[in-house]
Amino acid sequence: MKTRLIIVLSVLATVTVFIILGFNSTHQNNDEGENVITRCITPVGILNDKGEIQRSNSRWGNSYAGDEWFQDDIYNYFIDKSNHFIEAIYLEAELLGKGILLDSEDRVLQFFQMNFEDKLRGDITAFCNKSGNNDSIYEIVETVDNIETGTKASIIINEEGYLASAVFLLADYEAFEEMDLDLDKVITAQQAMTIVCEEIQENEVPEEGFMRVPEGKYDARLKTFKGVVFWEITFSSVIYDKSGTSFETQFICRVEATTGTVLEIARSL
Amino acid sequence: MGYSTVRAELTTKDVLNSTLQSKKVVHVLTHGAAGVTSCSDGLLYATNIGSVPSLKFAFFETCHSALSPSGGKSTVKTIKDNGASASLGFQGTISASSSSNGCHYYVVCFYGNAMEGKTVYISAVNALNELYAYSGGYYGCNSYMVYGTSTTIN
Repeated sequence: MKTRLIIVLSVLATVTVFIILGFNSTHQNNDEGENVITRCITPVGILNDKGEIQRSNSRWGNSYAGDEWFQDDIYNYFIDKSNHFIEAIYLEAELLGKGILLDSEDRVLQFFQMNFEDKLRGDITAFCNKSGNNDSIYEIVETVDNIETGTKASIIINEEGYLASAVFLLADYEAFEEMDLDLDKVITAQQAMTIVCEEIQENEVPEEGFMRVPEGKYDARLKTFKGVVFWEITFSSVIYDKSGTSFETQFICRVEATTGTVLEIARSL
Repeated sequence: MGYSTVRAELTTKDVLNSTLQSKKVVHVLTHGAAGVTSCSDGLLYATNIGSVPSLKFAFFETCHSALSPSGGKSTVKTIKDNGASASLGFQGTISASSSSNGCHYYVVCFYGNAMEGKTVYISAVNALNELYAYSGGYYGCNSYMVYGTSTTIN
């Protein structure tokens, strides 16, 4: 309990600082109806008192940014070797509705900033969707010159405004800088879409069939994950076989941003 | 989790219905739409799902299993209302590019959490972030809908 209180108070104290400072943010809705928040950030330290580290976290292997965790009465906290806070997950079912209060978009962004402390070097953009349970699911990414660095988080806030689960991924900034990537070196979203459609037509559509994308509509977002920069293209399609029978499928595809290599084609169930 | 398991493929509507009525935990992987589950012999409409008082939890890993058709109830809402302790589905489309990634990875994470004694709700939210940490995306699983949130199934 003592550890929990310290952490919660630490969070609240830092949140208070942010409220006093007041940050300007811009809000807009993108084509998918997501609430998008973009702002410049100022790093702030947090979680200096993290309590006793329990044991090494080997659960996630290489896919995970951190390797140690500690816990209090409410959450498991996962941290990396630099004490950056990368995940908080609930321990107990009966504690729903308690824990870290993140009842506004600003507080969620502050939570992101606090966890990455002095690591951040770019701008932050947040994408928010609602689950069926009306949880707010924030995907928060850091960008430099409009390209994601790979530092990002997924933070889920329950309907009452309390943290339900969070995961934080820290970029390999050295590798990111070595890429020396700017938008001039990146293929366009339309080029990525064309590449994906050709790939699907060749490998996913029945022989003598074809695919139609209604109104040619698609969503595209330039993303970075595990050091790879790629276009994520999402669109609905109707696929016809040679008899004219059709079925609808949604695709989520990834295309490497400079070479145009198709990394993944995921189709809906 | 202390259960013996039975796996059925190309399941018919009758088999799925009787399985929901006789088993404790049922996981369904197939195509779906609002109020509809695809079976080997046609579509199982939510309105045709019978009473399931002995069912503790059903997970419909299909598109739109938590989406209500016009004037009706979704598949997983019907399951809960028909007597199950808990159910989980998705309001939107879910996707994968292999048998082990995307929404299928979400499922693995969900049951991993559930085996640890977490509730179906907490298992659902944690699984989403585990999927995100693994793949950098949600694959539509962020449209999850959990009924009977405080239920545990281990």
